[in-house]
Amino acid sequence: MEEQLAELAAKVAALEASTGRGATIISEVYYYLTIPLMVIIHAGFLAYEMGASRHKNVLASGIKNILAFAFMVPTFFYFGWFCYWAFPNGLIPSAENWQTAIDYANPFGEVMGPNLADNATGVFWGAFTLFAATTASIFSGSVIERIRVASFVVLAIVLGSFAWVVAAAWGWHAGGWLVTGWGYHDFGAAGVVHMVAGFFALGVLINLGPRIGKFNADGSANALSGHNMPMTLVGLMLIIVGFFGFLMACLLYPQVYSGDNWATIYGTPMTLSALAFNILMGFAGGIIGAWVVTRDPFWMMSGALAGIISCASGLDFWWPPMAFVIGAIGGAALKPAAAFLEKMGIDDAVGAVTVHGTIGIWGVMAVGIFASGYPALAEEGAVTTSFIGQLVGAVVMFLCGFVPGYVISLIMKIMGVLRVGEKAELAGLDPVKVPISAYPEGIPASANPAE
Amino acid sequence: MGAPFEGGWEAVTGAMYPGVGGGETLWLLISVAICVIAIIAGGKHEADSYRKVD
Repeated sequence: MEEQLAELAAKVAALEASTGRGATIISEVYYYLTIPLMVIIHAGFLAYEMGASRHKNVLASGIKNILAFAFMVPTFFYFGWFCYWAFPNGLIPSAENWQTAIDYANPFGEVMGPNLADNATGVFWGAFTLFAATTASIFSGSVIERIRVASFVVLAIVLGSFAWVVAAAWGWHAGGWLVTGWGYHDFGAAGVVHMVAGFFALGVLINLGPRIGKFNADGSANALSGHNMPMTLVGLMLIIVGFFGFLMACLLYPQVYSGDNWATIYGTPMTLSALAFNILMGFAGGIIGAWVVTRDPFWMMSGALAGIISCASGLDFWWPPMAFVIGAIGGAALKPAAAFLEKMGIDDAVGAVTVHGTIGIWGVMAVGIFASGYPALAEEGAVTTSFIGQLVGAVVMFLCGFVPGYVISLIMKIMGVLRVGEKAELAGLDPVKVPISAYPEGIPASANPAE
Repeated sequence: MGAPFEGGWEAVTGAMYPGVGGGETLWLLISVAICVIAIIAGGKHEADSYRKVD
């Protein structure tokens, strides 16, 4: 009898081990698949940015966007991933966090390469690298048609492999001081990705200045329309597709990285259903909100993105019609917010500051307004979400983006390396520095009076 | 360089890339250098291009 029981126990143990191994493999595949889905975001930003450029700058804008992605990958390997693990408690790592970073993200160590004892590190690094590249691409569109590409690359590296990473370590990490101390909740990164990238762009735009012809002497603005609005619209839709992957990667897989339930990056329980309900409802709300205010397909598709960003911080909480309303408010707010920015003399070519920065604030604060009182962490006695906690988080996210963007671009401006020369800008960046032509057989000349 | 182990795959339980345990720094620094050179050369190409139209 005892022998039979022992045999049975051994079989159960083997079965449990096999099931656990299966769950681990499925979870790794789940996260791995978020990577190509997020690459679609970059296909979208590429199309969006090129479509929003005048035909004399199309390929130069494309080059800039492609390089933002390309440089993010190695630099996130060198130090971005390490920073995420090292900085949860502030800008000076504790000994414990430093050791965690060494264990999980040492770019000189065996953990960051093919290792049969570790299937997961590269997958998580890949997903976070795509988050990083997304921040850089958000910034990329706002500065088209007049920034020097080498300076842009340096700025993109600072944003993608450092600035947002620090913000994520503080507010998108179960040990981050904003989470443990203030109950900051930002499930879908409205603050740590969108606000940081949007306000980084604002800091740079202040120093970069508007494109020639954007503003008249009396301060009124001209519309420097891109050469291909359909390309821009398809680009925006591709970004939306990619964001399903982005938001998938924000979950912790059950029974492997959390308990029986799916969990947020903070370890608090949630469901995949919440993601499906609320992304789609926010998306639809954003489009409809923008349509009501503008009747303009550009703002409608930007509204789709704004709707998702509006709901992002609390995607795990919202009742779907609530997500729709929050998204609709975000979509409706877009054009007035963009007009205000333009009135301030800021030339944001694709509305990145508005869509990601301003609407990111709304996304973060929506949790403070409508979802206070949820425990911010899974542990008993954890601090709860609150209006003040979200407000503190929003201020920190603004500073994490704006300060490095403004300071570094100011230094570049003083050094004379931030902006292209006036003659090159007027001639167009494609004929000046790109060895091939976007439209070698020609396209109709622009009727834009500010050309 | 080459395979970091001798014999069959049964001996492999951990890292398995060429240069494991000593070559990482060299390759890392070379790749960093490529990035830095690319940015500098890209900036120079740009500056030269703009100078031609000034």
